[in-house]
Amino acid sequence: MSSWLILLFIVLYLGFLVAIAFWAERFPRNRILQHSSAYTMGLAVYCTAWTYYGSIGLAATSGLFYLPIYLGPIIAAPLFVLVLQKIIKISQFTNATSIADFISIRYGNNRHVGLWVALICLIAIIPYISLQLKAISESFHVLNATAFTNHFFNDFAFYIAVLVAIFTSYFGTKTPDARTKKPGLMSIIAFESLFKLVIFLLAGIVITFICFDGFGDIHSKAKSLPNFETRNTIGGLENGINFLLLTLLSLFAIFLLPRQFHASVIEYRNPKDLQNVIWQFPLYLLLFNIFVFPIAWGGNYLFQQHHINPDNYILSIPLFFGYDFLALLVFLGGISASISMILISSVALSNMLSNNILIPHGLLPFMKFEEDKATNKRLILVRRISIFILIMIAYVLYKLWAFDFSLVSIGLIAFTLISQLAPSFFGALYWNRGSSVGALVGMISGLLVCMFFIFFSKSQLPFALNFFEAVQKTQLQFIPNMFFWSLLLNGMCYLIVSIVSKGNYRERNNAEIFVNITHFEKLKEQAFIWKGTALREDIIEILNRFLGKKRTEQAMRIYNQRYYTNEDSTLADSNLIKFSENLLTGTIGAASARILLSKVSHEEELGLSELLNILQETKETTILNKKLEQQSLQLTKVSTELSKANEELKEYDKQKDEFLDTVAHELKTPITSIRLATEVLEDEDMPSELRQNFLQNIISESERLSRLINQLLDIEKLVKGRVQMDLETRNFHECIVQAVKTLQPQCKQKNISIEYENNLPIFLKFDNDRMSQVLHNILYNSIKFVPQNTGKIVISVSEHSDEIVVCVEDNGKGISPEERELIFDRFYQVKNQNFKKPKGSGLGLAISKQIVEAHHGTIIATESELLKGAKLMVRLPKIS
Amino acid sequence: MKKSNEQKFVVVSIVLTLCLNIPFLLLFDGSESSLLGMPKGVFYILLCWLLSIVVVFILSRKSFDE
Repeated sequence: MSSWLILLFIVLYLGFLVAIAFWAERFPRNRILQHSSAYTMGLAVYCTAWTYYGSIGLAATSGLFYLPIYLGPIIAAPLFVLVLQKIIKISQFTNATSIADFISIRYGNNRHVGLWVALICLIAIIPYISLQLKAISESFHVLNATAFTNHFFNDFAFYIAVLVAIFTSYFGTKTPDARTKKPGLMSIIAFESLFKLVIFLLAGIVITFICFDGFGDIHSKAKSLPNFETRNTIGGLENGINFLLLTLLSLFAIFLLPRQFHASVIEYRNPKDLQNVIWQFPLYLLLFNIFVFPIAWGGNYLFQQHHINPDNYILSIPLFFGYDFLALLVFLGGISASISMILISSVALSNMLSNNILIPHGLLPFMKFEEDKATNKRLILVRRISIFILIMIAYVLYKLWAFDFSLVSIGLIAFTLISQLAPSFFGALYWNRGSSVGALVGMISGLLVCMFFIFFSKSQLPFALNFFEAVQKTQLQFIPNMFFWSLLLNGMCYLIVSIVSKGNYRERNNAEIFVNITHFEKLKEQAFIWKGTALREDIIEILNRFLGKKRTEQAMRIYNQRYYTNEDSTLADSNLIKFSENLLTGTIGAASARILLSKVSHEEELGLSELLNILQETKETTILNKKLEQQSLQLTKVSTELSKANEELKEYDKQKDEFLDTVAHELKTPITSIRLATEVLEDEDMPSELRQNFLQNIISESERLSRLINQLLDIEKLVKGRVQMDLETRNFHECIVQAVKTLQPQCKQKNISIEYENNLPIFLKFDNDRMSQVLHNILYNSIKFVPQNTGKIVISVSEHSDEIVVCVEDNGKGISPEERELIFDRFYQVKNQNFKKPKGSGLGLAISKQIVEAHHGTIIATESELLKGAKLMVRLPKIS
Repeated sequence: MKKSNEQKFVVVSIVLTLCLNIPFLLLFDGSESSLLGMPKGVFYILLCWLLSIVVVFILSRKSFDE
């Protein structure tokens, strides 16, 4: 393919990336960028050119051994909810900007720890960046079928390196605060992650299903190749242990690689990110792996007679079949994988280089300027130069050294080097006895073992020969061996030295915070113990220099609000010291922040026991506060419930008064009638017909009185469960007909009708008298509330397998939603009765409810859709 | 998130570590026979991988919503 055509596509592609970055910087709150999948795509920067090209090469030459690199992360993914969440909390709490800052803060802001962590990262990752440049260069030459050149200016990778350096310098260092989110940079990484996956899948589909006849075809053809059997089996316990060690190696890498730390911790936004990444990230890796086997073995089969680098099969196969455009897309996918890694790694490394190496170990004295903007500019400049230097060193390394190694070998060496941070990193999270000396000794010894393996494995020196002869007896491969021995020594040194040497009070303070972050996170600066004297004015001056006046003023406002401090006070308290340290950490790193503040403050050394006592007290206070908070919440809840109960009681009291009023009225009316009738009957001259009428009145009023008293006694018995139901299987239809019949006089009086059209028998076990009473009460209520002459009441019955439902609907005024439950309370009278004095006693529906419940049924009131009035629905189980 | 829910994720990780390493891996070792055109070992690993995604997805929906 023509070099000019390839270059044109590259320029277009890079231009597109720049456009995405500018768009993201302009609209950082965009829905696409804020989506949790964007965070997952950021983490997918784990898949570099090594994954894209190298895993195919490894699958083609070593079979299943390409898989452990992915198995570690997928085993780690469910643990993100514990480990990553804790790391994020600590990082936000301490303002750590990189893994070097994170570890050094834990070990008492120790600048030597920070320096060594940064050095290990640089030693591991710069060759890894070289690997990406190598992949870009190789794939370019495969695509346009040209030979490699050693001349800088004729090398395509040189221009890519320069372009990426410019690009990263611009989008990766916009503000001096390294914790600031970088939407431009992350949007490119997210896009590239998606792009490389899509292209990889596309190439996989074309190669598997178009170049070959599917997975089965490739498998059957590859089976004829020599070594197919041995390369596609684990092949015994020794290799199984190699497999396990490589899995462990990648598990550490997913937490410790600077780019992963940056993407997962610094760019973390909200819990939704974490909720989705734990399954989306393994899914992403799975999709990336589906076609690795067919591409690798398809390539082995096709190119068995050719000398083609298996790393490039994904390019060579489409070219072999004449799919040039697909090969070009694959090449762009490879560039995506490489560029995204270089971008984020160089930003993370430049932060470490400036904040953990250059500034605390030399540049700090040169950074004190009178104008605050100058300091910010100087900081940004340091980082930009760092990025340029890092990428150029990587390029030089690639030209001098990386040619001799495969993609996988450089990648695995980088992983092993990075894994030397594991004891001090995971120790920082879960072990409060780890000390800075232990961490330093562990890391350096592990690093030395790695160097010994890398530089002396082929040496003819007698001690090296003897050592590697002995090591070979373990049957472990080179990388697992190096990983095992280095980490063993590292871990042991860390443990033993930490136990022997106790860290200072600052280390122990931070250790307690790191290990028990959930206890301390709410305390903020108060979690840090500091004793000494410092002038507030000096602290603010430092902040002004490194953060600028505007940011310092904003920060101090927040601080004063948080701690209610007196702005006129001349002395700075421990909270202000820690608050300032955290702010400076975000900009110049933990080590430099500590150096600066120690120069303007006089810190008193605290004894370890004193510190632990204070911390214990703080912890107890926190726990007590939490308990008090919980108790306060409970009290508030109880108080709310009490006031609700009080309101209900008031309502009941009101109802009771109304009821007594009603009962008194109801009792008074017949008694008055009886009294009047009796007085009239005293007249002996009264005609006998009239006397008979008065006597009849006395009888009916006495019955009314008796009925009311019976009702009162009835409900009392029902509520207390003292009424025995006469349950027998009867026809419920007859019960309804009877109830309707008894109410005919009232209907005639109001000139209304009751519709009931069911003729089928409904057999049910019920108390006939009581259910008649229920129906009577419901129907009587409906009659009361429907309008004169136009009133309509409809009874419907539906029979189900386990219950019957009786509905009584009317065209009255209906019952408001808030009253639908209350109407079944004793003494309750609905508010919208169309007469001033309530006609009933307010007991009818309450009695009905008790009776229905005694039958294990329910009664509810709703709105009638049919007649637009009230609807009362009684459900009765068939077997009660 | 509740501690009991966090523990479920730890259990998933432990089970995955066991399933994707020796001795379980050796039970499915061998390239002669293939499943869906892939060596048995590769197929077994990819299947465990897929199942773990499904389990973690379900757990994440339940645990984070509580």
